[in-house]
This record gives sequence, structure tokens and C-alpha cells, in this order.
Amino acid sequence: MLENKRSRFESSVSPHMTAAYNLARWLTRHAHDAQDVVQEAMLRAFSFFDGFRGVNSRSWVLKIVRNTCFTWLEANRPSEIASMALEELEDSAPLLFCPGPADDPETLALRRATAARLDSALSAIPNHYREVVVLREIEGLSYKQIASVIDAPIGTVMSRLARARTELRRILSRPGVSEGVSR
Amino acid sequence: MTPETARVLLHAYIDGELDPASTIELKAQIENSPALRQELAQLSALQNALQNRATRYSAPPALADRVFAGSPVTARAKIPAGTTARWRALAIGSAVAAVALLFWSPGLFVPRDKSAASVEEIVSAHVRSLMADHLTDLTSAERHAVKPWLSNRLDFAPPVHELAEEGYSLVGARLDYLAGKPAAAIIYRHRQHIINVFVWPSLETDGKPIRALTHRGYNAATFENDGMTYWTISDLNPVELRRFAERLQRAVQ
Repeated sequence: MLENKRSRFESSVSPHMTAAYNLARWLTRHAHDAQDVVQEAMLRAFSFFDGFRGVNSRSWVLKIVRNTCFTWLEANRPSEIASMALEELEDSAPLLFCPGPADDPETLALRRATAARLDSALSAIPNHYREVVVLREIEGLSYKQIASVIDAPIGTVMSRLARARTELRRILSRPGVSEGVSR
Repeated sequence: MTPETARVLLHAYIDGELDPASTIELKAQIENSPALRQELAQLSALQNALQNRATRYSAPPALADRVFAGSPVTARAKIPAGTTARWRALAIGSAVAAVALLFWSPGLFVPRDKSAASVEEIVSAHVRSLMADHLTDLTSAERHAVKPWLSNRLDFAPPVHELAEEGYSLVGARLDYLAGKPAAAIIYRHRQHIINVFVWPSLETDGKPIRALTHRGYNAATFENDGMTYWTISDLNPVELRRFAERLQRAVQ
């Protein structure tokens, strides 16, 4: 029965509304766009729901939200996707690494980074890096779960996380661009 | 293990994803390398900052209403303005189906809360946890260790809070099975008393106030908030347990 499917759908999906919205909000970087994307994703999820036999409904929902986000970005902000393809080419390049003294200024800057600075740094990195950080650090997913959401091997999850963190550290170690307090 | 490999594995290490053998090898390298120690310090500082302070955007309540506008729970409610035409069509279709169902069998129309657990079940789970030395699967007083540990093993992410300042120290977490579903058990200690907090997703998103119960000499208090059901249970006296439940409720709101 349709009603039966609806109620099963709602009870499987409603616990993940915040995770779904948070991911869409980070990928679109816009509150209204995120709402539209989540709504579109839920329509898709509902139509695929009969085929869903997995145990982890959170990964399943996030995967659909993530794919809907990228489809939406391709249609509405193709430049953000295009810049991504170039970033991927650099994946084999060595990671930036320049050790300084213990308890160095960079570590201290990271420890003191405010919410506003962290958010703006996370907004500044490319989409494919941002999504793994959001899924790992904010949603607390395992590598295996992230791999299933972004449909990539675990090795790719690891290398993207490493690059994303390198990039975030680079941005956050710049002297207070967005830290109005100290000025 | 080359220094380059070690640096890459630091990420898996701070994410708790490194296998035990590599962890031992990596720790030995960290021991001998100031550069690796510094890298680890920076990565941990970044991870800590992101987990604690980066924004987790909450879904606006209206969004869930829009998304589930056609579900049995809300099919009779007015469809909110701003709903896209496609979804409205779906919602109306299902409202028609719901009306048909209403005539056919009214009982089916009321969604049954399959996520409900009985107080007997909660007491049994609490007693079981105190016997056989199986209170925690993960022993940690840090919510940043407990929270990811739980959400990696469940298909929901239960909120975890440190309430040590109020005298409730976080002991750790365990997986349990309640109301026919996996549940998170978060364990606190208040003086000599162990408090189990069971959490699992509920059908209700509105929240429910605290309800206190006593069963077989144990005191329990339950409430719902933001799509989660909470049960707290302990041999603490009813007044103190209720105080804890109120504190927890404030923390998760």
C-alpha cells in the first residue's frame, strides 16, 4: 500500500533530516538552495525506496542528497564543478608539509580558530574536499560510510581528507583575515 | 614504513581507522620523529576545532513538514505554501489514498509507534549492563570519542554531552538492542550510581516532556526531543534521577 510505504519511508528518513540538510547546506553554501535540494532529494529517495534493502539508511539518504547536490550544482553553478575536475589532477602531487617548532604558531592558531573562521575556511575549499570533511568531522561517518556516500574507494576518501586538511590548515594559519576581533 | 607513508597514516590514526598492527608501528615512528609529532598536534588541533566548532546546520522545521507533507501523519493537514507543484501532486494523491484507507480500515490510518519500548525492557537492559561486566563497549569520558564511536556503529547520531561539572561523569558507551532496534547506551556515573541513557530515533519529531516511572526498585525517566527517544535509568532516587533527566534534556535541546 502507498500509505504503508510512506510511513516506512518517513520513519527511515526523518531521523536523518538534519544530516541531509547539513550536507546540502555545506555543498550549496546557501540556506534556500539547500532546502530545495533536500526536497528534490527526498522525492528521489521516495521513488527509489522500494529498492532500498540496506541497513544504513543514513548513508543511503546522504548519498542521494549528495548526488542531487552535484546535479543541482552542474545545472546552476557549473563553474564550481569545473574547477573540481582540475583539482583532481593534482591528487598525485605530494602534500604540503613544512614542520616548525613544537607548539608552533600554526598549532596554536588551529586551537584558537573561532567558529566563524572554521566555517569560512571550510566554505573556501573545493566541493569534493569539503564534502569529505563535513561527512567525517561534522556527521561522524566512518571511511567506509563516506566511501559509499561519495561512491569512491576508501583510498580516495583518505587522500581527499588528507588534502582537505592540508588546505584547511593552510587557510587557517594565515594571519587573521576574518578575525576582526584582534584588529 | 617510510616517513611519507607515516604522514598519510596519521589521518587514519586520528580518525580511529588504522588497524592495530599499523597503529603500533606508527606510534613507534611518532616517538622518534619531532616532525611527525608536530604534524599530529596540528591535525588533532584541526580535528578538534572542526568537530567542536564548525557549524552543523539544523534543518528548518518547515522543511520536514514540506518533505513529509504527504505522509499519513500529516496528510490531513493543510499543505504549506511554497511546496513545489510536483510534491503537491504527490501529497494530494496520497491524501486521496489516505481517505480511501480511512473508509476501508480506520485502524490502519493511525501510525503505530514501533519505536516504543516498555519500562520492563529498559530495566532489563540496565540490569543486564551491570551484570557480566558489560557496562561499556567503549570507555571514555570524552564526548568527542564517544559520539563518533556511536554514530559509526548506528544509522543515527545520538547527541553526547559531558555533564561532569554537574556531577555526572561520562563513563562510556555501549550498543544495545531495544524495542526491536539497535539503540545507543551512554553511561554516566553520579557518586556511586550508574546511570544508563538509552537513545534511539522515534517517529515523533515534536518532542515529549519528561515522564518518570518506577519499576522493580529502579527509577526511570523518559522524554523525546528532535526525533530521538531518551530513557534514563538508575538506582538513584526519583528526585535525583529526574534532575539528571532535566539536565540532559536541556543539553540535547
